[in-house]
Amino acid sequence: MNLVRRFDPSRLLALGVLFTALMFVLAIRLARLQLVQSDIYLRQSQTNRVRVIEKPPLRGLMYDRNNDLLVDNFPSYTLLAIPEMFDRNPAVRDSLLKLIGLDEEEFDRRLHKIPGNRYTAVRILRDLDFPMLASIEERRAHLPGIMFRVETKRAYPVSIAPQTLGHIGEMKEDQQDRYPDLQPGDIVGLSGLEERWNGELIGRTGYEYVEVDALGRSIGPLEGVDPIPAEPGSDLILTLDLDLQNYAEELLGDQSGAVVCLQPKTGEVLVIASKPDYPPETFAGLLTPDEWRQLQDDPNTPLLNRAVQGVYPPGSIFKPAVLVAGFASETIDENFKITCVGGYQLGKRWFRCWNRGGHGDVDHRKSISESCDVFYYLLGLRLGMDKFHDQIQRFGFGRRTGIDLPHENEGLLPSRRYMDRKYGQGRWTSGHLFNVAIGQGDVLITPLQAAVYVSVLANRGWWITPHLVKKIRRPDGSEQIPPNAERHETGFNPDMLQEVREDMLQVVESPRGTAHWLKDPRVHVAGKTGTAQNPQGPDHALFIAFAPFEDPEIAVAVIIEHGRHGATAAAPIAFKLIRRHLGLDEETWLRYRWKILQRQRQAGLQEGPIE
Amino acid sequence: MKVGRRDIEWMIPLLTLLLVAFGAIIVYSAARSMDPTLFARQMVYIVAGIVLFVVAALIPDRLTFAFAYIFYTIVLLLLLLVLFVGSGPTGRWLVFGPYHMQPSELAKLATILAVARFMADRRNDIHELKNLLSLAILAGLPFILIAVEPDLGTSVVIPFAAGMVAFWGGLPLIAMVLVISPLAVMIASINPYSLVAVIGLLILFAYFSGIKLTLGLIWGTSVGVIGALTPKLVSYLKPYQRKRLTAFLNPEADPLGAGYQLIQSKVAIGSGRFWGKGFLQGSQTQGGFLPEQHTDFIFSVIGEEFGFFGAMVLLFVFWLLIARLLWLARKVSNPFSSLVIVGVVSILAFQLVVNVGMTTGIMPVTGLPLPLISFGGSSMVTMMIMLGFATGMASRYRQHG
Repeated sequence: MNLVRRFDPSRLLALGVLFTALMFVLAIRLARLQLVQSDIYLRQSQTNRVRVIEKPPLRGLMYDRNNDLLVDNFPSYTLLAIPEMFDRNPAVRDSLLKLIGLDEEEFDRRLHKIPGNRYTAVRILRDLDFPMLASIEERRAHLPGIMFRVETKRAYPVSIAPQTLGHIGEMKEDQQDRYPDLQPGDIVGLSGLEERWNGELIGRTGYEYVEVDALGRSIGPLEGVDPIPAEPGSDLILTLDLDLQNYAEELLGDQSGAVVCLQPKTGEVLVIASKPDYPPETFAGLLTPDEWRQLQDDPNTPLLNRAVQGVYPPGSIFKPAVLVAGFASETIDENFKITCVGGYQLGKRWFRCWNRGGHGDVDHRKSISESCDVFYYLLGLRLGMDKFHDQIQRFGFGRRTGIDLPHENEGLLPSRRYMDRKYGQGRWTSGHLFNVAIGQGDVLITPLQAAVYVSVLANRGWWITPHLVKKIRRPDGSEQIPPNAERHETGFNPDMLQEVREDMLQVVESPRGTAHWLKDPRVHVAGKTGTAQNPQGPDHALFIAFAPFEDPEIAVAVIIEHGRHGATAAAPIAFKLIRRHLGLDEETWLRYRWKILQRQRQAGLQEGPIE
Repeated sequence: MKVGRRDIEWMIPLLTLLLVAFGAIIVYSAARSMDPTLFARQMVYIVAGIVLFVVAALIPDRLTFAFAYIFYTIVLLLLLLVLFVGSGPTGRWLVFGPYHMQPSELAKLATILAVARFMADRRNDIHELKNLLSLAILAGLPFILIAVEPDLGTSVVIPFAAGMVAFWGGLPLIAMVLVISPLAVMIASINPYSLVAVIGLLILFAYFSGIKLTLGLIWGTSVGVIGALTPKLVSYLKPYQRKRLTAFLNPEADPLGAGYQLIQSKVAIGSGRFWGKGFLQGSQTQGGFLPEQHTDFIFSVIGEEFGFFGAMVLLFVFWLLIARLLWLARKVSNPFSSLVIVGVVSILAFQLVVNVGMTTGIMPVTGLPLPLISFGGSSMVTMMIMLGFATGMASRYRQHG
């Protein structure tokens, strides 16, 4: 075997030179660290108290559509502790625990929430009150390893929509999957817009390396290492109208319920109100476990955002959708008529119309304006479950609308498959169909879905994904429009929808319309009243509306739990909101209404029956 | 043939023992503040390493040559196995009862043996494309299997060592460029500017080398595809790896992890000054400020306790070992043996440079141990076996040089 012929010795030399050169580089590097810069490193190793200090970013703020501040930041004191110092020194830990009143287990959990971290101070208590701050500071000399930091907590210049704005808090260990770039203990959004838009609001944590003294107090930045500045989060400009939102919450008052107002053409949410609620400051700083449990166990569910998470039977506000289903599936045409004698006999059971005296001859117009149930029993029977489901789901019922809020409820629009599964195949009857045709039984909707549905009617066939964030304003001042407004086509014939819209106009305009008493001569409002039976107690009151009829600028859905009558409990709120939004004053309407009442009294007339 | 007493290679075992003994002292110091049993375990690994060193030295070269491919295949199967049943904190371990091992360490040895056999075989004309491809597959398979484990640090040693073996075996320079270019593009693709620069250089090279058009096109497209796919691949990396990658480019980007480690490591080394603080006197080391100070960051313990002087002595001993191995590679008359020795020296030198570079902050934080010094059974045993082979091969063929 002849090596010389195959191998080229100069290549071995090249390898030798390469390795030697690389080791030479290492030697130079070592000389630099150990001979040239050694003084700095020696001093750092002598104090040996290099710490990484987190610089929490300023969280983005939230404004309403007119740039009124809704969510602000406010400075507060946070107590931090360095795990290493406490692990070595149990006595110090005990004296600190006595001061702050935490139990040992909870303290250790907070101290070690970042796996593997020993030298970075972690948050122990947020939002210290002044007496505690003072008592800790007094004993600071005996408590090495603690630090204070000024952080911000949320502050609310106005007290509105707490469930929608959401709250923030420390990230839990089990949320690591959702926030892979964050550490447990970082402040993140835990509900509402704070949760959904956390990525925009949060900003980026900065870091600083400092040298600290024996008590853990910073004695200055570490030489030769550049700090990473924190980057503030982006502000959110919301679609909400503070004035209208405030007004809606005022109108809801002590009642349980929800109001949603949309701009039908843009999908922008002007109002999203849910009552009962809680003061938004509740979660701003320190919340004791007791307070939290109390809120969670409250039978009135103030934490629930009823507008997107509450589900209700729609009752009669469902009728325009069922009518559209009848027209679109060509089950009936505009000449379809029935006779209402105050109910309908199906087999052994008498299905009542809400108007026991009967409506007489009922065409589609009257079926909406006077809300005749019998018309819809018969229409439901003709439609059958499949057409009913397939047409009505085009309004977006039974699905999430896609609003930029977490945990939206999808409601329930029963289908043949659903009914078969629930009652057994062939075990459900036309009676069930009767019920769903008047928006009772298994149908469940969210107030937001109702608002989207009335937007479809307002727009004659399409809707835009409802959304709460209009613009994102970056720290550098640039603005970005988030891609959260998608246009959806229902495919319904606009002329047919126009017919149904006219029907809804008659709800207010026709003297026998269920909401005629609210007629305002200055604006044409199309609407539909609803009164929904529910197993929990008195009927829910519902109302949907859009206005002005000719060119709708606002779509409203109002639900008052146990409000008994849509026309009296829910509809006035919608009208007031419409007037406020269109700049029409209340007084003019009241004077008009007063005049009408007097005229009726003189004529000895009474108002029509109330649904 | 018989090996006479005067033919026995004494330098390598001597230098190796010197390094291992020094390593044991350092592990003792590093582990004192952590887990006292670590030192005892390391002693067991060292004894096992010495035994296997001798065994490896006694294996006849014909046998090594004959079993090179079989051994390689078995190790590939083990690597596949570890992907499915791997355990340990990073899923890189195979456990057999009380024993556990990292097959990725064995893969280093298996790959250099296989590539050495391939290059030593005269029937494989390295100028043929077919053979070049086989070579690439030989080195590429273990690389990919280890890279997806994922253990990026260990995986890059393999193509490097395989490349050096092939280079010594007469791989044409143009082929070297062909093999290196995808790696270069992968690394450069992290930054658009460096990507453009590397691609520009490659095009220049292709133009002047007079490479055939079809080959050039195939090569160009595949390199381009690799460059384009790399950012996508990066997104598949485990979070801790992506962190390490970005931490290398910008250690401050991971201030609680790699950035902190680096700063502490530099403080330890720098504060050692010329003579060091003395054995067991390093405040950084004994204070336990450095995570991984007994394994990947063990060089910082040397730097702190034995200073610039100690570090230089250590580097010099390593350099002697490397130089001796290279000299032997030139002297032995059997091509296979010569190639294996080059493979061994390449792995040794690569890990040394990358590890010391990492602890001093000029190389990525890859997780490669310092050979013969760092705590760890698999790496100790594998390195000892490789040096055993080198010693045995050198002893048997030296007289013909």
